[in-house]
Amino acid sequence: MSFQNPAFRVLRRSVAGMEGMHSKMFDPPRESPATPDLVVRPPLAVPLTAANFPFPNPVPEVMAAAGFLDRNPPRPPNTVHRSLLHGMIMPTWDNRPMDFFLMNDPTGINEAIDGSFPAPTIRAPRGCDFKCETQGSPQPPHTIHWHGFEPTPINDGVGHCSMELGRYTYQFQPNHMGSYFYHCHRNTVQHFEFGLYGFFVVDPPDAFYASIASVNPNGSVVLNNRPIGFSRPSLGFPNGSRRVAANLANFPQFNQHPSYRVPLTSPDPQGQFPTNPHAYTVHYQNEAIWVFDDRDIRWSRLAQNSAQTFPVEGTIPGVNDNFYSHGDPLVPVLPTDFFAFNDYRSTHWYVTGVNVPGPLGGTGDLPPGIVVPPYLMSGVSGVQVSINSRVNRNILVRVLNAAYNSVRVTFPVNIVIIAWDGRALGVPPFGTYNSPVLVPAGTPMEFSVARRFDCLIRESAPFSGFATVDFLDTLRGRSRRFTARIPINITA
Amino acid sequence: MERRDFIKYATGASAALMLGTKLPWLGAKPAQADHIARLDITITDCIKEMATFNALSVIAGPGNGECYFWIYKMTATLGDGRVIDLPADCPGPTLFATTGDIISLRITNALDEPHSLVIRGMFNSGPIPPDGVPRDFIFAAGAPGTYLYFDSLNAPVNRVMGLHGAFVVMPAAPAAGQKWTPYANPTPQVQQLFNDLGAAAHFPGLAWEQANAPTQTPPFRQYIWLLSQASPLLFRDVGSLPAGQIFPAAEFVRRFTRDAFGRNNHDLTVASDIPQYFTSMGQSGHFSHNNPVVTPMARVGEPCVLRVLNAGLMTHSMHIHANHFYLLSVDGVVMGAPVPANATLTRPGVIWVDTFQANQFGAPSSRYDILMLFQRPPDVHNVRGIGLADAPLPTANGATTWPPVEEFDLAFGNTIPVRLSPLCYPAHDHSEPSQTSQGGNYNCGVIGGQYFIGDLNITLPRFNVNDRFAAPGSNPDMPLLPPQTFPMDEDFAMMLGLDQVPQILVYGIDEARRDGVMGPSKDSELLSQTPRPPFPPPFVDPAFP
Ligand SMILES: [Cu+2]
Ligand SMILES: [Cu+2]
Repeated sequence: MSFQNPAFRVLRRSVAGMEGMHSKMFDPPRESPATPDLVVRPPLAVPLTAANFPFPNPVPEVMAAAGFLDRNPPRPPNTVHRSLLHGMIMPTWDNRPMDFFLMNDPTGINEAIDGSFPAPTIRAPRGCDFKCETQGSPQPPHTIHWHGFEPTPINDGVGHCSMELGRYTYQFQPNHMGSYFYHCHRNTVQHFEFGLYGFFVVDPPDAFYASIASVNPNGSVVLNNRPIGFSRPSLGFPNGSRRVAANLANFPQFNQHPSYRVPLTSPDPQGQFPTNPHAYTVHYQNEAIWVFDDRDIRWSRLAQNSAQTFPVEGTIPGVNDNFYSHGDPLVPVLPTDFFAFNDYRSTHWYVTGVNVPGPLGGTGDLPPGIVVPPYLMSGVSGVQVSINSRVNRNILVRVLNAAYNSVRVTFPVNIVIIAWDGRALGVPPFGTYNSPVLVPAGTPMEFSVARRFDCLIRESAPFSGFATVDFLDTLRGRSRRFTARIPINITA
Repeated sequence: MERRDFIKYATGASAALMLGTKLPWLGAKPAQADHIARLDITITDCIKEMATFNALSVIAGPGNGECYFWIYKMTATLGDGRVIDLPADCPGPTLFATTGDIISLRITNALDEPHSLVIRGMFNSGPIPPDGVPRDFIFAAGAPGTYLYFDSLNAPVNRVMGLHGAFVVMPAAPAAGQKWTPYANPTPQVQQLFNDLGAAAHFPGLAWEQANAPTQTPPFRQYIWLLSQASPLLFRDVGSLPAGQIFPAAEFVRRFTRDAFGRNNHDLTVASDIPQYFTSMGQSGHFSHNNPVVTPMARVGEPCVLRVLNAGLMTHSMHIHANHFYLLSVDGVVMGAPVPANATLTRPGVIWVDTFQANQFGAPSSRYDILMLFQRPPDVHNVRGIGLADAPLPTANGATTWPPVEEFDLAFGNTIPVRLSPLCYPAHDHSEPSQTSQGGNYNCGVIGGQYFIGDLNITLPRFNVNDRFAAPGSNPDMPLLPPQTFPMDEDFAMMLGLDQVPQILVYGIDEARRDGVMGPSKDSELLSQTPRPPFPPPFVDPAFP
């Protein structure tokens, strides 16, 4: 028995009768249909009542009123806008040209319209009617997949299960508070690596509506004096506050009011929302978003064509499909169009878009004081990357692994993990079977690509130190490739 | 013996066998308690045609989309003496047993070096010399759970070369007064979860142990994703060694994981020996995604257990679209168990996630059981927007948001040629280099899915073909489906319509054809008869450093 003389031959399965399914896997249709099952809500009304729930997504109008969106020319109201493939070279810490595919907001300002890495963070209140008008620009095909959200297949944004774009308005109702992200699901191996993704936060139902004083007849809004993203005033918070989903019955240090631990189905005492928006939430004073990513400079140099190594259906599907093309049937395919996307070896490491300086095997520090500007954070100010806070404050850290390898995170302080993958622990009914956990300072936690967790920190004494993020090589032997250190400073 | 008693999964993933005589978890048993008296296992090899082929390639064999494997080839001898031949494939057949079953094996090593078969904590054949002599073994199925059977010799070479398969042990009975779980001693959280299925308001539908005759829904719905990676160049070299030589394990691991960066895989001067194929149940891309063995296909409210094993050397980060899922056990430890004294991280119970880390075999976090809920995708618009399956909302066109009939109209109204039925969602590795085949070809790598083939409480047979080209009612063989039943795309109907038996007992495709359960093959061996395009000359990319 040997390679030259094997005992058996296992044939490729025939695709006869399933040619369409077979081809659609690697060569999906590229369409620009109108949104099916489109929910059309009456314009945002103030005061809000449970009777006209779900409300449209208020965030674009709130951002426009604050000057973070340019409404000229006008775009569909209550709709987020994203364009995909905005190629850009950004130098690395060692001054090498790294090629990025970016998303931008064509209605945004500053880096939001130029294209940012990661893409501008989307925030939306739970239960709203979320719409995102999306186009592949300048070069389709693309999609947006809303990772962690679970809508109908066409709004799930996976090409072979529906279609690629073109242009399309995605629509869903974000129904679980927590941390998510959105990314292109076309040739994901390349497009996600090259930067086509952004963070997505589902805030409490009352988060952005509370910033609206009144609604104009054209749908634009007038803001009150509450900080954008704050929810409506409540006990002890006359100006409102920011909140996150959690069940902290076992962790009294975070001061979750017992009246907030009521079923999600319990009525809103103020009659505004169909259910109590405070149910299983807790206030926080500071928020940080950590997105870990790795890049391979070889890919950047050798695979800049966004349609590189596209397979294309042949005249006899399953027999002569073209598995080494570049996506354009009119241009001859050259062997150099092929790139081996199975061969990934990270060379540069990023935390929330910041290239942490240091070579393979090294350690680098993220600078202190990094804050995400509000035009990249759906209007919310003060969201941090490196953490600066005070004692006796609830500090929320949202963590996403957007690398192609697992990461190992070690906090220098105790944390309480309150959610994994956009699902708050211990919140009934679906969280009946789990609970938040204390992770003692110094405990390494390894987690894989696309996973998220939310954790709370609260220190009673001043602290200064670093969280360490080991980027592992889980494609080959689980060795450490790089360590990024993120400063955490807690003052009196 | 009823054909349902020994089992082959069909259409493109490896076969499955029910071992032993005690199968209480299958529900009704036929009167004659037949069983598999002995499993004959030959350790041998094969050349397998993988998901893609690369016409650029000048590398004979591997470049044509073929890969060499070592395999466990099995035949089953039934109680009445009949012998069932299971197809050669990598991985080996999936074996199901009930805890306590006595299992009899006869193992023959037909390769050129010593091999073994090991199920950790249960069975170890020890080294079997390459003498072609059958040797008999007997062992008892151990604690319920999900195991890998594999060759532990010259680790990890023999295992990674293909000598592996899944071994599932089911409990003999549920805990007293409780519903069935996959375990003999479930934690309180896991027991509560299974008790709540089909009973609590947030889990409408069936319990796991519950069948539903009108929809032909079987009880104990369960699936296996055995993940692996294959390097056609390295496997070729292992298979080309002179008889008696052992391939050094360190060199195997080095070439498998750390061979020099290769810009392409069709030119030997630059091709890397790292894996080019990433498989679930030995299949990739279309062949695993559109496959009712790999991709769970169920109605809303029909929860399934999914067992995940990684036989390879790389971490996969598996993301399932459509529904978050509960992690029931990790590495055989049922979630929610009391915290061991030496653990620094308190266990959070049965967590509900959308992605999980499937490390390489033997590492922590490499073996999972998960519960796929098959709940209505929770971010479809509904009245209260709190993640429960409330009443749907009206749409602009006067329909409702659930079921998403306007999406189906997009396909069935021919406005775009998109197949949307059944509700199709992918499940893939988010460590995306594994989403390739032969180096490129996105979406031809390790992928499964989650398909909704109907809504809750629809009492029509499972695999109806909805002939969309016939006028309504014109075809008496095609019962009209009520509007709340998802229409069935004809490709899916082809995929699913080959049998009438419940899913876990799917009959083998070859037997189905032989027995006339399924029509004659439309395809025969189309691929092997059709000449491939000629290969262009090799090239050297001058840009490559
Ligand atoms: Cu994703
Ligand atoms: Cu995904």
